[in-house]
Amino acid sequence: METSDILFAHDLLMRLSDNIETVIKGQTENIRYILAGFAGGGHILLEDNPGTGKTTLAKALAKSMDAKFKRIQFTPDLLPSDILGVSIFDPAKKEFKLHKGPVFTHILLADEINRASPRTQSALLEAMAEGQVSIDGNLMNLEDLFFVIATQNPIESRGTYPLPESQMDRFAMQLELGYITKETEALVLSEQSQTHPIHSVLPCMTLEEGLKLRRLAGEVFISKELKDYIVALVTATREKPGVLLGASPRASIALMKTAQALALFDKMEFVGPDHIQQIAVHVIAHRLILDPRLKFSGVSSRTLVEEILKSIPVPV
Amino acid sequence: MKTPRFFLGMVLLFWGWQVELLWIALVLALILESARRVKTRFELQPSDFNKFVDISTVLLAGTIVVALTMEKEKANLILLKWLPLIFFPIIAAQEFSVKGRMDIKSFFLVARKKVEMRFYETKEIDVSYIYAFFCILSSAFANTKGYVYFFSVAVFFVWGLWQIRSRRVPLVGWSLCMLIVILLGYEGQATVRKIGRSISNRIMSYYGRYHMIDPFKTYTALGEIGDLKFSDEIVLRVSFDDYVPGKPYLLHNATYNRFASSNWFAKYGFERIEGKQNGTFWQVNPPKNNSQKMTLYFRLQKGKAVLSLPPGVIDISEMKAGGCEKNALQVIRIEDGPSLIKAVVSHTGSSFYDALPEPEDIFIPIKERSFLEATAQKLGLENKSEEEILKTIHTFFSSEFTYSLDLKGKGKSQTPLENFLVNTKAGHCEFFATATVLLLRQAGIPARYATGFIAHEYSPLEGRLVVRLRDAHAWTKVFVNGQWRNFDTTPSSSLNLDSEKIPTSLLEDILSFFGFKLSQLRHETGAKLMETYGLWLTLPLGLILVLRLKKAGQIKRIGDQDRPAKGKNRKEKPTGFYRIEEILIEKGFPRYPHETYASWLKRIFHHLDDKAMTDSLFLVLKQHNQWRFGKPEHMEEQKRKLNKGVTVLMEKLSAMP
Repeated sequence: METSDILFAHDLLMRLSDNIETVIKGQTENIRYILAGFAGGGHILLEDNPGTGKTTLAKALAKSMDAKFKRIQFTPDLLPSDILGVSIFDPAKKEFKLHKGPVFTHILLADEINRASPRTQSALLEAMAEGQVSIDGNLMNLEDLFFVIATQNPIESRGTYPLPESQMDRFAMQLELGYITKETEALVLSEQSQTHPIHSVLPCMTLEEGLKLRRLAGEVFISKELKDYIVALVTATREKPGVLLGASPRASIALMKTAQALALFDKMEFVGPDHIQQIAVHVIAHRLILDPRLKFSGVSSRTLVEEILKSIPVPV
Repeated sequence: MKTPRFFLGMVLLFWGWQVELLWIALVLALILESARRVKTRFELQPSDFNKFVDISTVLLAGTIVVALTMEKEKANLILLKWLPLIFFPIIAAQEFSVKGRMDIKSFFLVARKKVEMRFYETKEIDVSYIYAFFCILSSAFANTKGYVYFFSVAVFFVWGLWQIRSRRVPLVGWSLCMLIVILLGYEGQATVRKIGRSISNRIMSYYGRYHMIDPFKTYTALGEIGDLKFSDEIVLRVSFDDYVPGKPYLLHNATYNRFASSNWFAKYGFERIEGKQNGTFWQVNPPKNNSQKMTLYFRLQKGKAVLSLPPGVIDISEMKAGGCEKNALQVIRIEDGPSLIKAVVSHTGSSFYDALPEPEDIFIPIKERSFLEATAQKLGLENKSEEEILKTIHTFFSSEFTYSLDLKGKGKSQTPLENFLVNTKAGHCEFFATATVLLLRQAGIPARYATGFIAHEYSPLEGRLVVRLRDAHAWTKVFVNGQWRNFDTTPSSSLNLDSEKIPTSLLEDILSFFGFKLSQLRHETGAKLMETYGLWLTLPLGLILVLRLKKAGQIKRIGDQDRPAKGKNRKEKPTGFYRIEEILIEKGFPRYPHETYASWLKRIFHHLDDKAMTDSLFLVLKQHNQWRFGKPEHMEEQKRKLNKGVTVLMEKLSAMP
């Protein structure tokens, strides 16, 4: 990897980040992680209370790229065919014609994904993991650059279905936006008094650039020692008492890839231990299933992963 | 938190020196200290640690058994003395393990099971400081009572804490704090000892109201026995070979012959009796045929006791005691022995071995003479024969006097005795006995005052006579027809009266019996078992040990080179940022193992308070990361560059306060 490549990637990420920040204020860190997730080839799940800007953030990201963008609003009566597509009989030609669903796109915004039933949620499993879908027995490839950004309300909210573990595992990262500071919120108010800034977002990255960014992220060097550290972190979740389901090897891969992309943000050609520590919680926590008794005692998946981070010596 | 080098070894040697087990201590110390030199380590799993804790537990149990059965007294002290040896397997396991720490769960059987359960974090601790504490505690066993112990402990204290002191505090401040702590500690222990002594004095004076404080004292005051009457505690258990149901037996404790101002004194020196058969057989008087036997069980008080014996003791067998003494008045006292003493006494039953009468035995204090003369005249003792005098006095007391534990005021009389004899005509045994002695002396018959117990209560529960504290009694020894004999003028109604006054509690009796049986088991049966089967008893314990060790023997042994290296041989030669880390730690900024250098620096740079320094630190860190985590190309050049930066930075850092 040439120095020019690193500069290109860094520049691109910064551009994207700045572009999104014109719409979403006070979320620099989360935007960094989302972009790292995108560059690392993963899908992102945003979970937070209604009105915290999840959808706006997702839309801003989608609009920043000059690529096909589809949005699905998940509702309880949504069906898998509404996502994947359906074959309809054409009386004129006397044959079935496939009407492709919204999944055939570059960027897919799955809004409020946990409002649909698990049956529908599962429709995305194959698409997200393998970049292909099976409709009526036909295997169909999705676009080269396929990126799902989903939002969901906290699972305790009314009218939601928790995502199946396998679906959760497909997401490279889960991020909580959280509330912004009072000052930032006041700024948001004054900016949106006339018109929503999302309408004025212009694309700043082409499809080719997006693909190149992903390729470059994969070329970032990561030492054996840090790979071992990643594996130690992930396997620790499986051995931790009170965890019913630990993180999968897919989590290790996602952690590595995201850390690689994060290194590009810092204009570095190799991954450092800090990159891994920064995103470990976001990459691992949502994949864990805790014993209900542990949950009642006030331990969440996030705190558990933070605890693991503190218990494993980091290579320095 | 490892102990400093040689710390454990020195603590062990100190223990060995104090409790006089220097050779054992030397071996243990060498083993522990060799752990720092020998590179071989064992890969111990939590279950393996459990085994070592089990070994210690078995050892502890074994020591308790042996201490209780063999050593009778001071079992807890024996235990204390051997603590370092008992816990040695645990510390050795830790020192020679790869981990160097122990899971705290190993120490709790209940928690071990919970390993299977979820939510329980593994908490690993280093037991070496705890072990050192036990060694020091154990050294206290020697109880040297000098300054050596305290100051040695203080030295170990300082030594142990030196390594883990906060580097941020200047040395002077730290030393000052330690000095204050040591001085406070010294004051504290002195105060605690003072308080302890005063509390124990309090307790003893309270206790003394019911128990004789000093079994060896050579006088008794009128009223002392009266106080004893208020307790129904069982103090003696007696069985006679020729027991006649219903007959009260007088068991003699002490005899006094000089009466002055309401106190009885005895001025006879004691002579040692040599113990035979391992200190269990004591020839008190010359052997004699047709003796009778009786068995006695009692407890030592503060390691001493005056024996309560029937008249005419010839010898005492089966009594384990450190020493036995008697005086001319046949007072026999012993020292040291198990807490429960058994004595098989052969006695003549009637004839006394007491010293022949002396002028002292017919002496009457001047104060008491007037009313005694009057009483003697009233009874017409002068012209009667000895037998008649005894009879008259007996009738006099039984007809005109009543037994009472409530003492009335002194009235106008000069002495308590006069009050009893002339005014109240009511009192308890001490008054009866004293009055009798003095009346007899007035009539010209030598008499002495005897104290002891009256055994009259047959316990169906125990199948022998039990003597309670309230059975304490005083009577007279009188010399008629050329020999001494007991003469008791206290009305026999006293026995019933005492029982009424202090009702016995069945529950307490049963508990007392239970305690007695337990002691008997411990001192008699147990000791006998240990003598004959002692070695066999330790066999199962040994077997368990061997089995445990055998399992423990399957532990994987790991040489030095096989151990996973930490970092890039960091221990060997610190290079790069490690050198800076060392300096910063030295300056009081420790780094958690989970912290990356970047997050560590971010945490501490406020304290550094030097923008330029922080910047250059981050710059060097970047080079360091490049060298450590970057592509392994141009390694040497990177390292050279890094070390250059580090050296420059080191100089700056060292200059910092």
